[in-house]
Amino acid sequence: MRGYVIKRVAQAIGVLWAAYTVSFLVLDFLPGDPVSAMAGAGADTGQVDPAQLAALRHQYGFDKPILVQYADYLGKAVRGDFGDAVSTGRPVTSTLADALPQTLQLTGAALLLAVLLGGGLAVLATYTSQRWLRQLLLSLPPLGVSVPTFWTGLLLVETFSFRLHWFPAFGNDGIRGLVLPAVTLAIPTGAQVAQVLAKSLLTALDQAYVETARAKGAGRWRVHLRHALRNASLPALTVVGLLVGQLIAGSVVVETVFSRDGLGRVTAAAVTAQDIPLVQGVVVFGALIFVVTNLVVDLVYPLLDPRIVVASGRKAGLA
Amino acid sequence: MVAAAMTDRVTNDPGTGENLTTTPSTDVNGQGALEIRGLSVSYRTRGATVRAVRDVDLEVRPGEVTAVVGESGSGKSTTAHAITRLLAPNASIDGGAIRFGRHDLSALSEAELRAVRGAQIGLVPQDPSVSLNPVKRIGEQVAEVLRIHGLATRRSAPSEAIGVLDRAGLPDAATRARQYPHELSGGMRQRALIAIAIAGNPKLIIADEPTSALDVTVQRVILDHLQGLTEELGTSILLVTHDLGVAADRAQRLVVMSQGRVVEAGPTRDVLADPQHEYTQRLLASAPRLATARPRTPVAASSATGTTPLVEVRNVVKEFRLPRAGGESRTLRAVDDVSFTLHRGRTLALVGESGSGKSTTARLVLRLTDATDGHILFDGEDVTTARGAQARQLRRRAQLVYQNPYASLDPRFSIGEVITEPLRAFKVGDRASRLARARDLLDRVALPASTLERRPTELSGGQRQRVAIARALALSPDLVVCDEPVSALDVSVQAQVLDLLAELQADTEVAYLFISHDLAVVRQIAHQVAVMRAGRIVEVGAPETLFSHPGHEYTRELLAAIPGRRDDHDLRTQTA
Repeated sequence: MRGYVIKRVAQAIGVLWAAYTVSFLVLDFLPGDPVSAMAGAGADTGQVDPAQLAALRHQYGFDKPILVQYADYLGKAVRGDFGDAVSTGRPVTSTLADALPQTLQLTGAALLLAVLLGGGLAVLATYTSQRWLRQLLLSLPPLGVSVPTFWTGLLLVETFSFRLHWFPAFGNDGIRGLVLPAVTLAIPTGAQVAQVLAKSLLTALDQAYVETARAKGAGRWRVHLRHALRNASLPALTVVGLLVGQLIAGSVVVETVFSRDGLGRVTAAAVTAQDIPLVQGVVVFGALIFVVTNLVVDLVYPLLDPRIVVASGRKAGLA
Repeated sequence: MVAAAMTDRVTNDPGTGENLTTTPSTDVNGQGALEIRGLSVSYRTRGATVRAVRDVDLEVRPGEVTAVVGESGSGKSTTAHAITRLLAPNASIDGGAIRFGRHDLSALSEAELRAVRGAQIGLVPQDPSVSLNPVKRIGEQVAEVLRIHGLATRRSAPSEAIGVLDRAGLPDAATRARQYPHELSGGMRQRALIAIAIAGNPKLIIADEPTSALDVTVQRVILDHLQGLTEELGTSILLVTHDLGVAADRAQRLVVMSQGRVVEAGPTRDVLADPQHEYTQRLLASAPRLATARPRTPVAASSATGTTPLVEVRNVVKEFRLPRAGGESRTLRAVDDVSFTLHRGRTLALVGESGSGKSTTARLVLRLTDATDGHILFDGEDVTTARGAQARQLRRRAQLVYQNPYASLDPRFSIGEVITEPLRAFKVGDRASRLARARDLLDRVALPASTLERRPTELSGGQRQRVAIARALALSPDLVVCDEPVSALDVSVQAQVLDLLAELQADTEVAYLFISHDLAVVRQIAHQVAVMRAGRIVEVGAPETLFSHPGHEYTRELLAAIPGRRDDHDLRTQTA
């Protein structure tokens, strides 16, 4: 068990390094650099002194050879220093740390909603013996996946803020402000949970042990919840691990639509300003969250399914 | 006795569906334990309705074992499941009465039926490897029956479950109760399932192929135990089986089903001694019983002596590393110092129970896995560590036929593509000549040329296995390894496939390494038999001598465990 965790942490470090390196290379290939972007934004009127630009580039190290830049930045990043954001001059780490709580609230609430709604939908759809109701419920997830987030967001704002005045349309004020963005973000996520869970529930209900349970005299709810659901939850759990990454990505759109502060807004602003240190920080941070979530998911598996044993060696199979 | 029994005989003619003779039988209270009259069940499939069970009459007397026998698709399992309405969602009961005690089960609501299931009628399902919930502890699963029917409280259920497991013959029941299904062997799982079935002290147990997935020696112990339990408690059993031997050993009454109908029913001894219906006669004739099994291959006269053996295995060892438990690493010796030789045109059978190492031995010969120690010679050449071109050459000369024809053919390939795949892999001939070869091979395995265009799903199990054999022969190999080639097939189909294998051998001089757990099958096809146990060959010999004078104690045990060999006194009827 300890060996397994150590191995996984080593893998996680590898993933983080790869994320850093790939994003570094991609950003380097982009035309222009943050200094000219900054100068362009600051001076609408005319030409900026080339000597001044060169000085700025020197200050941020953009004039050094690419490999040297990479080594410099990586060395600092390992110590947790991603440099200063070019656009604001504040350290990247503290910019992210400030934005994090808002986004965690949003994605956490969205994930909870997604699991509850998606899971509930899947359980109901597979439980009902009414064919039409099952068909209706099972047709909802594909719809939820295919509708774009910004559109649902705008629709919700239009209905619940401007017409009904139930929730604020934008901002970060408490629980009420959280409802609409969280619902917006939860819809596509929950839809995917529902799709996977419904499919694996139907598979589980077809297994021989379900017949054994029915032969014991178990009622349908008991069969459904106590026997099928736990067996069906593993694929859904895998999906939830992957969806966390999607939620972070989705927060970019949702925070923009609802004008909320958070990582998504920071990311959007950083990309627009070509703020390379900040974008790098966001990429590595996103990768970190993703890696940690999936490690947690993998550690939860054995609790749900006793057949899964986490071992440091490769899984040994008997003939 | 005989006269009384004769009046009980029921023979149905599928043509008219009329009972020729029937005498309703009753026990002392004037009631049978279970009486089914005119049961019909159908399945809705896309656009069509399949009538799986048609107008079936069946009866189980108190304290007796009634066996329903038939081949796959005969409707025996559907009949058994229809009793407590444990049918697939697309099945519907079209008619009939199911009288159980004072109730007509077919008239009960779903909720009323739930009170019967588990408490009054227990079910022992077919496949112990998938019939227990993999994420729940054994004890919990037994306790659930007691809890559902209010036979134990939350507090008393766990300890009572251990008691039931103990009665079901599970050794060290308290420990087992805390374990999960995957930590138990097949036999132990089946005992846990029996515990679930008997937990509510039911009056009737429906056992659907309860031991088909188990080794013969385990099968015997489990059936003995089930029978002992029910005799003690006065429980009746409805035993569904494809194995006439099992039915003959265990049941007082026999019901033979074919194509959804009961074709014959009566006291077991009478039906076996004097089968009235043509189908029963056929079933009896094709059952591979040791006493009746005749070798299919004429023993080739002295073809072996003097020449190089095709396969020579010398002191081969195969070890697997086991997952670490408690720090130290352990190894499992799956194949332990095994030696044998196999000559062209001959068949060597490896016989043993699951885990005996027979399949691993075959995989070693085919170079699908590496030997830990020892030597393997193919046609005089040492191939123990063959790689690259040498291994590829071996692949061409040694082919494999798998156990399960339902899984071994790619469902997206046409049969033509399946058969020509080895030719394409070795770039033999062009498109036209490969197709001609496939047609020729299909002809050899007695399938029409039109099969070329069809898909595996459109074929029956027997037809699929013929295709698999044709594929194995495509490259004219010297050796074909047959890994349980007929175990997944019905007995009548088994006989045909074995005939085919023998014929092909006579024509092509191909050698078979034939792996089987079924001694009766082995007797029909093998020139030599090697009995394996725990990785070792314990005895080798010609089938006649081995079966008539088994030298090793384990061989004797295996022979004794084969169903259909029990003495007559076990077939006594309780009403007599």
